[in-house]
Amino acid sequence: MQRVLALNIPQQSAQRSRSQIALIDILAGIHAINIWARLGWRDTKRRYRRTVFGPFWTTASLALFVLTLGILWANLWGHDPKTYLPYLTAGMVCWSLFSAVSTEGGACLIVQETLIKQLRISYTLLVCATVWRNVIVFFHNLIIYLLVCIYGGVSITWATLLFIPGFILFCANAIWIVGLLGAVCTRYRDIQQLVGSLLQISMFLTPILWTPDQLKGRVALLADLNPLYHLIAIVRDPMLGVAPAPMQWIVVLAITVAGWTLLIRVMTKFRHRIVYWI
Amino acid sequence: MAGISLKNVTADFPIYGSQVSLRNVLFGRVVGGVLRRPSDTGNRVVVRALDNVSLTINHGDQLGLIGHNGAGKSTMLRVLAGIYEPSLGSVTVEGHVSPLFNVSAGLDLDDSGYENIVTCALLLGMSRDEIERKIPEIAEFSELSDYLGLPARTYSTGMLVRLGFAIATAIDPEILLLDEWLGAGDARFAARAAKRVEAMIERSSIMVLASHSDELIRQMCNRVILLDHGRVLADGPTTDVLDMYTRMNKDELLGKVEPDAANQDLNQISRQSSTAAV
Repeated sequence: MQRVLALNIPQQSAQRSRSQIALIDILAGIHAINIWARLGWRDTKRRYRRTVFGPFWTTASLALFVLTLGILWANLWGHDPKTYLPYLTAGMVCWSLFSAVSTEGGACLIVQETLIKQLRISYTLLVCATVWRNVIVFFHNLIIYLLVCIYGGVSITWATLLFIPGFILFCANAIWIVGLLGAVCTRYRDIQQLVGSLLQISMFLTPILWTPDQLKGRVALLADLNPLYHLIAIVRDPMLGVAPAPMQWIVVLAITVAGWTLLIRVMTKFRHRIVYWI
Repeated sequence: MAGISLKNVTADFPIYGSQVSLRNVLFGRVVGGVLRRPSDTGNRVVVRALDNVSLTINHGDQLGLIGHNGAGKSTMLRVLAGIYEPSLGSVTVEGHVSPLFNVSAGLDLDDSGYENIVTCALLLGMSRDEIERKIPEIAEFSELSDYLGLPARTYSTGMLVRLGFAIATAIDPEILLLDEWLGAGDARFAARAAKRVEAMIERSSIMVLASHSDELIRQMCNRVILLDHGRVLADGPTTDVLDMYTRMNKDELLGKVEPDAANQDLNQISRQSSTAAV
């Protein structure tokens, strides 16, 4: 029988420090793509079962939101619906992914209690399954965006290709966010509620419904100092055929490095405690 | 060569989310593990499930773990599996550990029998090729035939257990850990199931079985460890330790047992808590 590292994380010993185990957990977890892809896909299939539209219900409610409020706001603020609707839709599709992974992140280890108490399984594997499941929903939601693009006549340019690195970077951030929340929420269950309420307010504070250039003077800092703005922008801007500013890439790269460092530190310190907390 | 060695292993379970009341402490005395309030964890109450355990398990050992409820048998198995890292002491494992504590871990009621076979087998560490090779044998043993194409939620409880059992026992373990005997189904199936578990044990190099059935331990094990309040009370050939256990139980019934050190600890705690309650 072969040895699957992600299901048999080595134990701590004189030769293997906790930080090495944390790294093995992360790398082996990401590497076990056949397992987490299956787990994530299984959750998606569950949403399809015995419903006519399955995950498209999320898509449908998002579509309703974007179309009704999009037209309303375009009129209120005097935007051209042909440019505002694609902007709003792209932003909302990205935001839904961010908000879904942040909401589900807190529970991603707690709900897998049976598995965690049976196997010395990589926690990152379970994290990846959660992110993957939501990425699948994201691609469902992209359909609304494509329809709105046709309506708005968004042009495909070279910058559109930047969607690929932007999205990969976005997912890299999703993994550390889910991993961190998953670990912390096993011990402090209140965090999950806190994240929920913070998300709600962040949606309005981040330039998704409005554009950053609507802010004048010092209030403009509200957009520039908001890390979520840059994280959304590196996916949204290429979708609109615009290249994100170099500064935005730099900010997002910095967040990614900081987040992953934090994740590795937390896993080093607390990985072995999580099963006791769960 | 497979082998496991434990050196001065202590496992403490912190209790979160509940102020331990006198009632809990009294209840703890009945249930098993020793409740303590060690000075190094502040005033937090912990349950000491394993207390300074040292032992070596060698290639070819078929080890039985016996003891009352809460003596530390399950914790010991989970420490061997690396699921709980000990709070003190060290565990060294040579070889690949296959814990089979819960045969229904990983089963999804919405998936079909076949899909469940693939997912569970992946989680047990089998490769895709290995699974493809073993599917006919698993299907045949589970006796589910046409049902395997239907969602697992249509199965009876017995059928579900049979499916989980058939998958779990298809592995080729090196170090096999069993928490209670894996049994399944009606009398006729139980006989086949026993044969299958025995065959699996034959394939393994080390087997550790925690059980309350003296008969089973006598039949399957060549060495037995008696645990009490998280300590190793006896370790030796099957008959010797089982006889000692039987004698001990008899004495206890007749009320000949002196309150041991653990119980004295408890008395101390209950005094502390009662003053705290005031």
